[in-house]
Amino acid sequence: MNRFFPWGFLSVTALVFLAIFVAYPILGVLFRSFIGENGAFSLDGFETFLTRGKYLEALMNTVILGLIVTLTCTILGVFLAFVVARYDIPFANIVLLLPLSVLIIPELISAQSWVMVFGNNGLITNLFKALGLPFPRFYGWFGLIYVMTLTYYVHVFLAALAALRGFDHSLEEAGQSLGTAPFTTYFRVVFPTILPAVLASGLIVFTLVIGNFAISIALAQRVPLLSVMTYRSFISELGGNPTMQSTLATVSILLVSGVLFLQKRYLSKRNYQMVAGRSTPRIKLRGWKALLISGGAGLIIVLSLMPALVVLMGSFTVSRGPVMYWGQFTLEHYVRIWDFNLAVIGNSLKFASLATGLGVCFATLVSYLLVKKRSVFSPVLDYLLLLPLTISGTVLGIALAQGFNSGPIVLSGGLLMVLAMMVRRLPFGVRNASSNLHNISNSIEEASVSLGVPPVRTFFNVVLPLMAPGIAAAAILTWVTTVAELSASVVIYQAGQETLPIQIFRLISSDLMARASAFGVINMFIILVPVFFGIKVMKVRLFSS
Amino acid sequence: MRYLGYASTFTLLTIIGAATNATAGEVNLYTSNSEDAVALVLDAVAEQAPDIKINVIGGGSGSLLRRIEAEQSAPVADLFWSSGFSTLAGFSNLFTAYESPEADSLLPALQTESAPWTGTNTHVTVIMVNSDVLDGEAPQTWEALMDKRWAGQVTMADPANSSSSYAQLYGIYQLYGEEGVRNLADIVELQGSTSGVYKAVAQGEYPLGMTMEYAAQRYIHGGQDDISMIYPTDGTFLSPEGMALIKNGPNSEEAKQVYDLLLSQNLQEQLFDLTFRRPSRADLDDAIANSGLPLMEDINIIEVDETEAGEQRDYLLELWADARG
Repeated sequence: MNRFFPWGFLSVTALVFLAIFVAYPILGVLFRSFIGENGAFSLDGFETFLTRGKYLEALMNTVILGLIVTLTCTILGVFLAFVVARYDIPFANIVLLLPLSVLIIPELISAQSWVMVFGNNGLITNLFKALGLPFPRFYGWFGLIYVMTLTYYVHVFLAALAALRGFDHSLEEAGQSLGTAPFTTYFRVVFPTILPAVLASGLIVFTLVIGNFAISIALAQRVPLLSVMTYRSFISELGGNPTMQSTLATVSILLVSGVLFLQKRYLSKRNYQMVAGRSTPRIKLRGWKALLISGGAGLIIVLSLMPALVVLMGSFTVSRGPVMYWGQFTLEHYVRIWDFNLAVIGNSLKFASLATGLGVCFATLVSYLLVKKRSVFSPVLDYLLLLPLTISGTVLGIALAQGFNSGPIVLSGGLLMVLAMMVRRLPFGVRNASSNLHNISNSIEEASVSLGVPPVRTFFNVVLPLMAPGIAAAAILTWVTTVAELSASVVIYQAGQETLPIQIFRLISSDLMARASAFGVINMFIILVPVFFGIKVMKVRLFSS
Repeated sequence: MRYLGYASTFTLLTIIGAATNATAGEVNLYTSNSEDAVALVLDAVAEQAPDIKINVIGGGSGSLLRRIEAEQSAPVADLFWSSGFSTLAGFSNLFTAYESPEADSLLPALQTESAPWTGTNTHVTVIMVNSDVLDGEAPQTWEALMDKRWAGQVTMADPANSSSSYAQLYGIYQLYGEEGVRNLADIVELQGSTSGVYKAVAQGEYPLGMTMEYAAQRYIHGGQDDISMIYPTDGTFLSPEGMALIKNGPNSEEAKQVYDLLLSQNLQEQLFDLTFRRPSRADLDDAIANSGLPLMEDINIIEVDETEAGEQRDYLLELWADARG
């Protein structure tokens, strides 16, 4: 048996794939930011960035927004996790739906729905106006912080909840029996131990906020932000300046990778091991405390799920052009989609199923190679898989478009769409697929091989079935994110390749909210079906890791 | 395992299903117009040229034109409908001229004898007003709009990003020179895109916005009472839009029939009623009057030399960036 074949060969193939489709375009962006208009080395891009006030202002705003939203998400997420872990509240089961709400409601749709509620012509705004009360301006900082907090706090919530559930209650009892007041014990014993998990998820929130495109472009009319500026520099109808596009993209890459670096350094220093955790008994609350705490938690839950309802209602609301007539209902928007836009739904299904299919096959193979067949190529593979995490969707779109629209390798728009959707999700797909690979004993596989079954057949007959739950989770999560993908595809797509999110984005741009809502409902439906199927029928655990 | 099998079969099917081709008797129409506008055209073709089948590829005009450019060696598109003249000028090598018999009925400014496209409609720059958030009387002229009292209350799209916004800037420059450009720079706040302007005004973010007539009319016709528009009496600007035949398109004979149809009185009237984009034909005054919009002859229009505007672009944007500080 050749030692290189098949696993060494497959490792090299995976490596080459990542080098061409991830490393090459990203390095291209970094490289082009140092190339001036005349084609020679120049620092003009960075000089412009540092001297023209608007770029620095956008960078500052982006960082400030990231910090504020990380803080608000942490407060909200930890509060809710604490309530769920410690108190016996009436609707604890609904809380478990929360992570799903983030999955099935694309960012674009939550921004859109909150505009319909709080925008200057929104439901609540009009209510306040009718009552003669002033309402804060939603476009700008208030809207950005509000919508992003409600979209991203779930990340902190999940991390904090897992940490709190793993917390050994006897530590807290020990603290109290030594004479420390309960509240002080929380601060000195409980919080430090859940801090690493909370901070790690907080940093994820930070990277999501600074890379965010959908919410930013909908709400940041008066607040210049880096991601929106990067997008506009690329999409400008009068032809942008490639050096400046690359410079903006490079700044964003540096920002995110800097944060990821800090996170790794911080987490490597702090690691608490819980010994035989005894879980905390859940307290039943009474009186005004119960009302206050369960009311607060209930409000967060209602607000998290509200966008889906608003969009559903909007999709059935009568509109004349951009003007909506709330309270009057129609099926017109769905009829129009049926008459004119089935191709858009087809595009979404086509691109997302290709990206999911390819992405899951790739993730399965790579996770097997990385966990079970480590070789000299594995460390490089590990690093290449981290690369997609350092770039926002917009930057990935620009990298792919610049890298493959001309030059040595030219790819068609459709292929680029699939690539963009697939690459963005790859690191997570590999993590999902390898989740139970660590628990599969090598001896099972060795037994099969020693009985004469060739390694590849052993992989398909023995290992793959054992990996199936992880693969199914990877498939569902990849599907969910690819169907909702906007920021990379909106940079790449060509005429005739519009997906549902792109169509929604375009309709929102021309202020046709009711029609956008109908597309939004269809988008959520397409996302929800496999999730529902996976959880209910196939019993896939989506949030095990 | 089984669902992986299903997934790969589905994947294969979608790849096979992706390829399509146009044959004779068909026209490949690349259009940036909305689906309901396209539907009107499809209906008109079905009625008046039933042997022609139209394949519609829709999208933003920038992305469509870039696609036509990419397909240049083996053109797929027959007809492009429609984009601003200044945008079309950047792609003029993709088009071939066609002298439609309908062209004589068009407004002189939209006939474009020297260029390989024909005007289909024209935008008129207006001041869109939201009375709900307006303090005092709305300005009736550009000069009054540029008064310091409106500082921070007027919005327009970034002229560096948007061709229609550049046309507005050039118009102001033509009327009031460098000082006008500086005055404008002092009072406006910029939006990233053209649509940002009318949305911001409709949502009450700004009381005043420099935008296109049709965009404001959508809200007025939709029934939003606090929206109105002003045609500045010191003169406003047109930004005409046109369509063009694609050079070496596969079905150019059929495409010419659609071309003529798009300039016909009946279809232009229907399109105007739907989109509020002022038709290029000179004989639709009744329809315009019925819609509540003023007739062209009642608006003070400043002639703009498009070539001159293009040549001045770098200079003017530099001046603008300088004035914005």
